[in-house]
Amino acid sequence: MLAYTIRRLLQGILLIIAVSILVFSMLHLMPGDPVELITDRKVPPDVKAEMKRQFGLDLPLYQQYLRWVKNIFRGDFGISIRSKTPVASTFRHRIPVTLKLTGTALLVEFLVGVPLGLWAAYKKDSRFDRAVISTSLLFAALPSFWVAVMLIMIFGVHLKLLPLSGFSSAKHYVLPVLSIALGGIAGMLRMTKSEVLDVLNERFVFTAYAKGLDKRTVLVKHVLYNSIILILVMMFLSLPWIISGAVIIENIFVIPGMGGLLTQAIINQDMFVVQGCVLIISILTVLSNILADLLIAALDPRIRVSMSGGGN
Amino acid sequence: MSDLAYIFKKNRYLRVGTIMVMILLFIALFADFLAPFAFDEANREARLEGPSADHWFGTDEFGRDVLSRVIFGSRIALRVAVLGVSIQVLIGVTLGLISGYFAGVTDQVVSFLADLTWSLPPIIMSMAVITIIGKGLDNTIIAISIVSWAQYTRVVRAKTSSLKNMAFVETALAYNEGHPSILFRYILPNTIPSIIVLVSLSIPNTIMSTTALSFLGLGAQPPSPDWGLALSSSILYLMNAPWLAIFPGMALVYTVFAFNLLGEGLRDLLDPRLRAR
Amino acid sequence: MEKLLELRDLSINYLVKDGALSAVHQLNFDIHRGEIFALVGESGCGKSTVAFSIMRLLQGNEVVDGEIVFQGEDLLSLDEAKMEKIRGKHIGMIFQNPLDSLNPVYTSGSQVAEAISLDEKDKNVILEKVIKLYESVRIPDATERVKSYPHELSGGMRQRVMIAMMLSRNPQLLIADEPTTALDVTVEAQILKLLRELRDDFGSAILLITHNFGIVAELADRVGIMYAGELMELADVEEIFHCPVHPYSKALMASLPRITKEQGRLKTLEGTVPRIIGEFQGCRFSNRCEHAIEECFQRKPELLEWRPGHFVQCLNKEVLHGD
Repeated sequence: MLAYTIRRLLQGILLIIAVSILVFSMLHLMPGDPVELITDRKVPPDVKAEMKRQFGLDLPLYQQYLRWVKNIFRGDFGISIRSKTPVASTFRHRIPVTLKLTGTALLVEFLVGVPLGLWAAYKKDSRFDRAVISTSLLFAALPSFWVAVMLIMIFGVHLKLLPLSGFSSAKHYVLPVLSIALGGIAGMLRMTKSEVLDVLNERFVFTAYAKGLDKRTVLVKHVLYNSIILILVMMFLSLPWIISGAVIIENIFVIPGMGGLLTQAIINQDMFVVQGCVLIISILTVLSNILADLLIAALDPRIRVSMSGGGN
Repeated sequence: MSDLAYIFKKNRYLRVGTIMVMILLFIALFADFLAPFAFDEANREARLEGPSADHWFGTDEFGRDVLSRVIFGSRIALRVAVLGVSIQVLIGVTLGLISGYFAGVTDQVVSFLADLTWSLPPIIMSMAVITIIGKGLDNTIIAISIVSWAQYTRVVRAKTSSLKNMAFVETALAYNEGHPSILFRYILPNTIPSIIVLVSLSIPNTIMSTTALSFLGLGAQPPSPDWGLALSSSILYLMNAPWLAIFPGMALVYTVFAFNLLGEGLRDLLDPRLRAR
Repeated sequence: MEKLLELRDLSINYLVKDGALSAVHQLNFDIHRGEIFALVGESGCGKSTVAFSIMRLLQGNEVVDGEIVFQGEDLLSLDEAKMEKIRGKHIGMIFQNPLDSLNPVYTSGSQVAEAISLDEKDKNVILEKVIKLYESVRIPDATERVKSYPHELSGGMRQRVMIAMMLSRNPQLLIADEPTTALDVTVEAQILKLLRELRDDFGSAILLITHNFGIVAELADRVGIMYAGELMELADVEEIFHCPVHPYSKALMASLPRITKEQGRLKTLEGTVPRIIGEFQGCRFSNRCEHAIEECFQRKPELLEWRPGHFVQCLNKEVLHGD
C-alpha cells in the first residue's frame, strides 16, 4: 500500500508540474508582449519597461518559471488588472464555494444514482427498470446549462419557490446542484445497473449463497460492496466533467466561485486571474483523483497488489 | 432480407439514432428552403412575440424568427461535429498509432499527455486555450478539440500495440515494408471500427461543450444563430418570453440525444466492449 | 443404506425465446449417507443444472418439476428462508473454478469465518476453527494463510479454502461441481484425496459432478451416466467400468483417454447432442446410436433395473441381453 501511495503521489506531482508549465506558458503563447497583457493600455512606455524588469520578464524563460512557481508557493498569484487586488485574496473566498458546489453535486449523483441503479438491476426487465433506463438516456442528453435555465423558469420565475442567484442559504444550493447532477445521475444509474448485474453473475455470489448466507447479507456484503468499488472509480473519473458543469452553472446562478471568476477574467483578459484559476482547479482535480485512487486501493486488495508490482 | 435490414431490425438504438440524425442532416442541408425567414432578419414591429401562425416558435428581442434561427443553428451544430471531431481524430489517432507502434519513450510521453488531458476538466482547459487564441466559434471548436483527443489515443494505442505483434505485420516487416506503409495499410484499417464508435460518442460531447462555451459568451458571437448563444440571451426574458429558452434548448437536446443513440447503437454493433464516458 | 437425497422425476426446462429448452428430464436417483455418487457426462448434458437445482441456486428463468427429497423433505417446496437454513448447514457446494468462487475483496479466512459465524458468535472460537479447518485441508502455514486474499493463493489452495468453507458447517451432503477442472494433475490428486478423507472422516456424502472418468474411478462408489438431460445408465463404479451396457456408456469408455480435461466433449461419436425444445419423441441418444432400432425413434425408454443395482435406459433387447 505504501509503495502504491508513493507512486501515485509522484504521478500526481508530475501531472501538476506539467500543468503548471502549461499555465505559465500561457502568458508567452499569447500574441503580443506579455507586459501589454498584464498592464493597462494607457501606461507610458518607460513605466512598462520598469514593470518588465520588476516582473522579471527580461529573464530567461526557465528562470521566469521558477520565479513564478516560487511566488505561487508564497501565495502570490499576482495582482488582478481589473480589481487591482491580489488574486490570492479573491481565491480564498471563492475556492470553498466551488468545492462545496461540486462536492454536493457529486454526493447527490451518488446518493440518487446508485440506489436507483441498484433497484433497476434488482428488478431487471421490470417496468421500473425500463422506465428508469429510458428516462436516464434522455437525461444524459440534457445540457446542464439548459436544465439550469428551465429550472430557473419553472421554480424561480413562475412558482417563485427558490432563489435564482447567489449562494448564501441551503435553498440556494437546490437549483445549481440539480442542474449539475441531473446528467450525472443518469450516467451513474446506468453504470451501477450494469456493474451490479455483472457482479450478480459472479461465481462468488453463488458461493456466498451456498454457505448459507441469507439474501440480504449476500446482496450487501458480496454484491454491493464489490460493485461500489467500480462505481467509485467511475464516479471519480467523471469528476472533471462535474467541475466543468460547475463552472458553467456558477455563471448562470451568479455563484461567487472559481468558475464565474474564470469566465469573467477570460472576457476581461485578466491574465493573472485566468492563470491562477486554471492552475488551482487543475491541482484540485489532480489531488482528488489521487485521493480517489488511494481510497479505491484501500477498498480493493487486488489493485494494491497489482499496482505495487507484487502478486502473481 | 439483407444483412443491413436485419441489423436495423435488431438494433433499436441504431435504428432510431440513424433516423434522428438523418432528419437533422436534412434540416441543416435544406435550411434555406425550410426556414421561413433569414436567421438575421429583424422586425422591430414584432419583438418578443409568442408562438403564432407566422412565427411558430415566436420571435426574439430583435423581432427575429426563432424557428428560422433554430433551423440555421443546426448547421452550426454540424460544423462543430465535423470540424471538432476531425481535429480530435487527427491528433488522437496519430498519437495513438505512433505510441502503440513505436513503444518506448515516445509511448511514455504520449501516454502522459493523454493522462494529462484526460484527468483535467475539459471546459477549464479549453477556456485556457481560448484565452490564448481568442474568442469565436471556430476557436472554441479548436480549443475543445485540443483537449479532447485522449480517448482516441488510448483506444488506438491499445489496438495498435496488440496488432503490431500479429503475424501479418511481422511478415510485412520481413518483406521490408516501411513503417508508414505498415501503419496505414495494415494497422489503421483494423482500428477503424473502434474509431467510428468513438466518433459517434464524442460528437454529442463536443457539441455540448462548444455550445456551453458559446453560452458563456466565449464561442459564437452575435448575430450567429448558435443555440448556446440563443440560450444565454434568453435568460433576460425568461419571465415574458419562455419560448426563447425552450426551443433552442430542445433542438440541442434532440441533437445530442440523436448522436447518443447512434453511438450506443454503433457500439453494440462494432465494438461492444468499448467504454467511453 | 439410508437414503439421504432422492431425486424424483426431476425435470428442468429453461425458458428461451422459442420455447422451453429441456435441460433435465425425468431424472431419478438416490444418494445414500456417506456415499460418493458421481454424475458423469459431456458438458451441456445437464449435470451442473442438477447440482444447482439441488441448492436451489438456478437463475430464475427455469421451470423445475418433480421432487428433490432431502432427509424426507422436498426442497422444491420449501420457502426461501427455510432453504437458506439448509444451504451450507446440510448441503454444501464447491465449484469448478476456484478463482471466481471466492470474493476477491475479502481475505480467504474471513470468507470461511463468515460461514462459521452463522452457527457460532464468539470471534476467537471462529478464528480458531478457521485455522483448524485450514490445517485439516492441508493448507500449510494456516495462521498466516487465513489473512491471504484469494489472488495471493494458488488455484489448488483456493479450492482447499472452498472445501474448508463448505466443511466448516459439517454438511451431510457436499456437491462438488467439476472440483478439479481448473487445476493441474498433481494438485488434482491432492484435492481428490482430500475429498475422500472428508467422506471417511466426517461421513459426508458427496455428489461429484464431472466429465472425467479418471476422477470417477478414483473416487466414486456409484456412477450415473447422463446424456441430454437423462440418465442412461446407473451402477456401481466397478460395474460401469467392467461391463458398461448402454451404447453411450460404451462409447464413453472407448474414448476414455481422449476426453480432455479442458473441453469435456466427446469427439468419437457422430452427430451432436440434440437441443430439445418442447416435446421429444423417442430416445434422446437415438440419433447418434449405432444400435438404434425403429422403436428407439418412437418411444422414450425407461431406466430399468438390468441386474440388481445396475440400471439401464435402453430399448434394444440385443444391447441388453446380447453379447
